[in-house]
Amino acid sequence: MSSEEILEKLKKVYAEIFKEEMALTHETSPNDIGSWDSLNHVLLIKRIEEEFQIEIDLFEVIELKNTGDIVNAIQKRLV
Amino acid sequence: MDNIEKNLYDFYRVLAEVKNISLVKKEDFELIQAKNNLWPQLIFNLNQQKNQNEIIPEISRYLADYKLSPSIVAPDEYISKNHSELLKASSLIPVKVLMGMNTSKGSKENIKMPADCEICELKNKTQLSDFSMLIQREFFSSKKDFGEEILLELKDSEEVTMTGLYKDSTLVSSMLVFIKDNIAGLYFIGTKKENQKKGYASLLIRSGLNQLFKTGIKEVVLHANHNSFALYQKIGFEVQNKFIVYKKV
Repeated sequence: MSSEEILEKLKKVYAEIFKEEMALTHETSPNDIGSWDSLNHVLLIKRIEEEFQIEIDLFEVIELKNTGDIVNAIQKRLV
Repeated sequence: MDNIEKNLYDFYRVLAEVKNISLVKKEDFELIQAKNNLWPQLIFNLNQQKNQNEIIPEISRYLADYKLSPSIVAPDEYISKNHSELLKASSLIPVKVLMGMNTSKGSKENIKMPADCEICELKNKTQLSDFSMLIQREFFSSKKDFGEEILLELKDSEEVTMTGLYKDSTLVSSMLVFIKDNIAGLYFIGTKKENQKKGYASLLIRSGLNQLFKTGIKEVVLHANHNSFALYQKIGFEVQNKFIVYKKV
């Protein structure tokens, strides 16, 4: 799956978790979304795990700093 | 326990002296808790002599019994990736990394204060209210989690000083300095979103460091997240340890 396709799928997941529609880019980070706090970050990753049927290590989750990192982590697991 | 960890825990204990915040000392950890779900809600100072196989489930059970959901702060040399399964089984998940950083030197560069800026101590209600709003926006996302009265009470503590950088009479960057045992901890370093990446926080911190070392402070410590880490490194802080913040889900 290409990085753009992942981003497109992520839009839906982000909207569900953060309850707002947004223009998502690789640079989108917690600084851009008010409700992206540490707990919602974990919920976001859990939802991404379900959506893409992948598993991300508990401690790797807290190292993902922006949407680009999340896209890379997904791509790595989909190979 | 190093100075970075000690200063953090001492700061939490000073916070616990504020009205409507309580400190519970258990055998294997401490819990600081503000009323009405406001910050702080934290478990810290875990008994690192105790095996993680005992303390992780013990904390999880305690939180379930008392229906509490504080953050749990622990150094990563005590609880780490090796305990992933145990954490999962106890429904504790890592939510944030904080890097413990320190410096024992002031700023090498000369500090040039722009003509429209000035640094001053935050003491009166309006100044502390502005600082409180900045903290709320920078550290607590959209929910109203931080009570302004914390700062109003802390201003009377001999160990706490709050300073801010004003640009055209508007508070743009601020921090709280907590001094204990000749070690200064910098907390709540924040800059208004629209004024970020313009060097205001750096100016405030570097000026603060020079002041602190002039008064005989031997080490300045802070706890950085991913966003602020590079700034502090540029100022001269070095990473010494890491803390992981957990939540029970």
